[in-house]
Amino acid sequence: MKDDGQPVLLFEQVSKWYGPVIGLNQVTLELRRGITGLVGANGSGKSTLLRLATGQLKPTLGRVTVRGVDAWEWRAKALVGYCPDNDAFYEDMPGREFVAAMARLCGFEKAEALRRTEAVLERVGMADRADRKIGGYSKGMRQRIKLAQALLNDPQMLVLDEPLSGIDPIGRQEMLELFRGLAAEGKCLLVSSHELEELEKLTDHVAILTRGRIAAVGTVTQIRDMLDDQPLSVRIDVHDPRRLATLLVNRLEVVGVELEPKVLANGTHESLIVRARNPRRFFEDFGKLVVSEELDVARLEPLDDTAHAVLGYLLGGSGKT
Amino acid sequence: MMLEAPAAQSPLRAWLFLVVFSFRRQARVKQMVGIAIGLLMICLLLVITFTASAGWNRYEWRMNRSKPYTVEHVAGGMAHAAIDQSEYMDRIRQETKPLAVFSKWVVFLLFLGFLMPLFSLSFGTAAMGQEREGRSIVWLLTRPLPRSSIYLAKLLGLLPWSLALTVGGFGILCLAGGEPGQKAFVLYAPGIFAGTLAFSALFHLIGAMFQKPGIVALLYAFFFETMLSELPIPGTLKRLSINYYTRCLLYSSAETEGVPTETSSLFVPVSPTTAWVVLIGTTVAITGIGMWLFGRMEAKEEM
Repeated sequence: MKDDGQPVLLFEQVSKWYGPVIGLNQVTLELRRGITGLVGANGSGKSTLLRLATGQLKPTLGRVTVRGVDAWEWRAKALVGYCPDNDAFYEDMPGREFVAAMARLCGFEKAEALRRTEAVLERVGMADRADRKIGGYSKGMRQRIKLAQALLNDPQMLVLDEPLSGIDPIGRQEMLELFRGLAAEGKCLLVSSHELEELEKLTDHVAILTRGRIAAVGTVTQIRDMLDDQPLSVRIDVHDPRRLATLLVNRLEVVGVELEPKVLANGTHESLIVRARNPRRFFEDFGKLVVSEELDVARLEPLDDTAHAVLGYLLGGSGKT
Repeated sequence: MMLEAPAAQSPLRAWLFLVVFSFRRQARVKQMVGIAIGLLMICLLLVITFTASAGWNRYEWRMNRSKPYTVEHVAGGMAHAAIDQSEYMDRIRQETKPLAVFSKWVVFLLFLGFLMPLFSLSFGTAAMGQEREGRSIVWLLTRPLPRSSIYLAKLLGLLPWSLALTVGGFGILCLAGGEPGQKAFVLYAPGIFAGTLAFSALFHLIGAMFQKPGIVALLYAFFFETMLSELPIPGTLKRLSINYYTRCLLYSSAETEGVPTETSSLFVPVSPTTAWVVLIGTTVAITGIGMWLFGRMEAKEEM
C-alpha cells in the first residue's frame, strides 16, 4: 500500500459536545500505517473518537479526515473498516449471509461479494462455522464476524472497538496475529481497549484518552519518559502529617511539601500536599516508606487528573489509581 | 485467501441491494403487524357476520325504525304519495342502499378512520425504528452510501408491504362484504392507495426521528388524524391531516355512485384533483424532508 505522506486519519483540533457535556476536547491526532492503541477508562471519550473517525458523528469543532476526505462523507466510508463494540446483529441471519449482505452493501457485484465473503471468513477463522444463525453464536464468534465484515472492502484504515473482548486466549492470539498481518500489509489500525496490558501485546504505539483529551500519545517508553519529567501534586490523608512531611522532604523526587490549611479541632492537620518530580518513582518509594515507617495512610489522591490517568495506565491499572 | 486488487464498488449497486435487503428485512416485522392483522381478522369476522345475517340493504330496517308512513293514519291515504316523493324518503332510499351502508360503516368509519392509519404505521415505523431499537443500524450507516439514500431505500423497501397490507386488507374486507363490498373496492381502492403512500412516508419519518416511534405514531394517528377528521367540526385544521384528503377522494368516488356523504355538511371537501396533488405532493415532500434530516442526523445512543 502506498504512503504518499498524507496521514490516513487526521483529527484537527476536534471537539465534540453532547448538549452541555463535552465528549472530546480539542483533540489533534494523526495516524499513518501501523497499529495504534487507544486506551482510556469508560467515559474517557474513546467511543466518541471512534465514531468520529468512522463518520457516525460530526465534530462540533475541528475536522476529521480519512485520506483527506471528510470522515462524515460517504466516500470516506469506502476507506474504513469498522468493527463496533456494540453487539447488535440481524440475529436470524447466518453469519455467511450477513457478511455477504454487508459485501453487497459495499457495492460489489454478487460474484465478487461472495468471493470476498469467503476470503474474509477464512481469514478470521469462521469459514467452516458461518452457516449457523448468528443468534446461536458465542461472543468470540460474533467478534470474528464483526471483524470479517470490516475487512470486506480491503480498507486502508481499520477501526476496531474492543475487538478482543469475549475471545478465548487461543482466539486472541490468532486475532493478534491477524492484526499484525494487516499492519504489515500497510494498513492503519486503530484499536481501542480499556486495558493497556492487552494493547501492549499488539503495539507499542498508544494514545491515552482521559476526560475527552488525548493525555499522551507515542510509544509506551516515550510516555513513561514524558511522565517522569512532569511533576505531580498528591494529597495524602495521614494520621500524623507533620511526621510524614519530615520524612518526605529528604526524598530526591519530592520538590515541595505543604500542610493542608484545614486544621482539625484538636489543632492538628489532617493531610498534606506533596509535589513530586518523578511520580512513578515517587509512588514506588512512597509505598516502601509507608511499610517501613508503619504510616497510617487513609487516602492518596493525585490532584492532576491527566497525569493521574496516564500514570494509572502505566502502572498497570485502568486509569483509576 | 487474500483480497487482492480493488474491485469496482458501485454506490448505485449497493443502494439497489439495500432496497431489496430492506424489503426482505420488513418480513421480520412482527409485533405491530401482528396487532394489525389481528384487528383485521376481528373486523373481517364482523363484516362476514353482517353480510351473512342482516345483509347491507337496510331499507326495511330503517322503515321499521323511523316509520315515515305513520302520518297516513291521521292525514289519510292521500298523504302516501306525498310522503313517498318527499326529500326525506329520497334520503332514506339513498342512505339505505347496500353500497351506501357498506361505504359508511366499513369504508369511511372502520377502515379509513381506524384500520388504514394502523396498517400504514405498523410497517412505516418499523423500517427505521426496528434498526434503531435493535442497534443494527450501525451496519448500514458504516457502508459507503449517502445517509439520505439509506433513508430512501428503507422507504422503498417498506412500501410494498405497507401497500399490500393496507390495500390488500381493504380488498379482503370488501370481498367479505359481498356485492356492495366488491363495488366499494373498485370505487375506493385508488384513494386508499394514495392515502397509504402518504401515511407510509409520514410514519417512516416518525420511525427515523423518534426513539419510540410506535407510540408517537399511534398518538398522532388517533389524536390528530382520526379524531380531527372524524368529528364533524368546522375549521381548516383538519386540512393538515392526510385522512382529510383521502376522505375527499373517497367521497368524490362515492358521489359518482349516488352514495350520500358529508360533502354538503361541515366537511367542505377539496376537488379530487387537489386531493391527489396534495397526497402525492405530501408523500414526496415528507420523503424529501426525511432524507434531508436523516442525512444530517447523528446516531448517538442507539449505537
